[in-house]
Amino acid sequence: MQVQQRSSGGTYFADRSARVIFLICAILIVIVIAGVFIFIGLNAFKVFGEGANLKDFLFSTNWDPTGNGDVNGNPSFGAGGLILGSIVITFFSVLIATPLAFGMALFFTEVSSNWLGNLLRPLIEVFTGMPSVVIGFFGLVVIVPSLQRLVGGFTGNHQTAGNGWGAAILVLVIMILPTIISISIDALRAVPTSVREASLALGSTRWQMMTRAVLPAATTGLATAVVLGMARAIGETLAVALVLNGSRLPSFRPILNLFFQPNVNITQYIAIDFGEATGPGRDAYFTLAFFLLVISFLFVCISRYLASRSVYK
Amino acid sequence: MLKQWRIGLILMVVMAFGILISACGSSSSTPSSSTPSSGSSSSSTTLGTPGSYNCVSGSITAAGSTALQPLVSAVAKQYEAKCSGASITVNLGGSGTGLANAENGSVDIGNSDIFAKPGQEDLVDHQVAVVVFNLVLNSKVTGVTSLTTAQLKQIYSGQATNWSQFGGPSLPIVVVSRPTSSGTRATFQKYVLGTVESVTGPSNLTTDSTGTVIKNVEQTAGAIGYAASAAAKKSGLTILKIDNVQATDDNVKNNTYKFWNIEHMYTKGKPKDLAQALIDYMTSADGKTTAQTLSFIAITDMPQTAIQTHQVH
Repeated sequence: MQVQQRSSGGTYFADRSARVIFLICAILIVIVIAGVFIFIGLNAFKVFGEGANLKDFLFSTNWDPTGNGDVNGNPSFGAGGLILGSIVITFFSVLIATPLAFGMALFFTEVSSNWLGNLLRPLIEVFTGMPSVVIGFFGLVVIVPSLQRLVGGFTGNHQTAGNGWGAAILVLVIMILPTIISISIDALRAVPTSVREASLALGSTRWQMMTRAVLPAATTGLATAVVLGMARAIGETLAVALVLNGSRLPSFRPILNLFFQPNVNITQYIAIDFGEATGPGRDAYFTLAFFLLVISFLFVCISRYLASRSVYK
Repeated sequence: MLKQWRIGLILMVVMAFGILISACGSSSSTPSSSTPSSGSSSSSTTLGTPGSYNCVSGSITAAGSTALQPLVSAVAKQYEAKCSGASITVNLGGSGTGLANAENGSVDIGNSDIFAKPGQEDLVDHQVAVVVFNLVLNSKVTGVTSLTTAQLKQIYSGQATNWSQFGGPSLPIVVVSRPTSSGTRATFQKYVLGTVESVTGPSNLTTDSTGTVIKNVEQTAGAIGYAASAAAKKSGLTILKIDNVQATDDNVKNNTYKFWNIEHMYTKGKPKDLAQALIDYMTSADGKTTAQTLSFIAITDMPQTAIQTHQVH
């Protein structure tokens, strides 16, 4: 009935109501985001009144917030290894995935014939929505054993080799590639044909046209692609937890230990331990969540800044 | 064309709001509708009689322990089948979450593997069942069927590092643990080891759930881990005797097999009628049969002397 009224009653009413509804949507989103920040923030600093101090939290590597791993039951809040894990895993997965994704996006938009693109594009979009637990499981039963065979001889313990940051990075690369590719393709398609024509007319080769003209022209869109991929990498929990399997940062010698022995990051610990933790331990996980927010915020800011320095305006 | 599109969009947004509002409405109406029933229960004072069946209509939510969840879910399903007006939701989340949610009133029953912490004194403990745990071995560790407590201490402190020390093959030992807040780990430390696990680094894998522990023990050569009996039996892995005592129900009941713990259903103050009825029904004849098929032991089948040994907080 309302539909009839609107369609016959003129566009004025529809316009007004649409504006109000969109305004409410916008306000709602702001409220939700602010609410999450405030809720996490309020709970994040409780733990510092319950026996933790900021210096240990950032630089110590013994994370035992409920104290069940200590003979005297004293909790320790050393999240250094966890924070380092989240930063390293995210950084390397984005570093590996970005050039690959840009290359594939360029292939789709500039090189491949249309029919091939039309065939592969839906495939990539299906892959974008791949449940993380499926990829994580694939990581646990395929990537971890393969890495173990590859590098097991060079790490501290052959049996557990393969678990760790290396496997997590590979899992994340698989996971964020399709996201970055899809959005990059849209960004590259949005570059006007005149840019390509102008570049080719000036005598550049196809390669020069792509790297010097098309990619810079699409910087903003490409940055969005990377940021969205990165956001998925930072927040990814389940898949990463399945292949990390560590309890603390391993020893640095040999250096391969860091990447190919059981290791930790923030989301893994939140996934495996938050539900069981009580008291100050529970508050400590809010602090971790807050640090995760801060890290993702920093990463987004940095990549936006890098994109804004683009020469092409 | 444009108008139709816009109307469709507006309708969708309105629908989304409707769902949101109705969701808010239902969640806020649950406690208000339950208030009169709990009020009437205090006047009628139907004190719980364990093992009885008493049909109470209404709806309750239980959340918490992943170890206890299969039993509570199965018994709740049987109760709902018998008593048509009752609706019981059983959620996971971990013992810490169960206790915290029961404490803040967001669930009616908090399932927990562990005793409530200091500061949660208003939670009432209903002990319903005993969960039995098993130590499981990777299939490559042949020739080891029993370990003494002293040997386990050596393994879990990192002093013993090779299975050849215990009559097995020459294979490094990998310890698969649960994170420190885990109730299963706490049980293992308190009633089997008598001290804390202190293996960290490359010879240790830390995983979140019973399922992943089993998966990692299967996959990692030389691994030892612990898991709830039901999952351990299903996995087909070698189940170790502890001090030459097999994990049978009889050995648990006379406490010669010590790797078991009490499962709790906590309520905030006096439980709602339906919550009380469910807790009573857990130890009924039906509940006991279900417990047996799921490798639990109903608390009323345990001798008091055995229960007393596991009452220490």
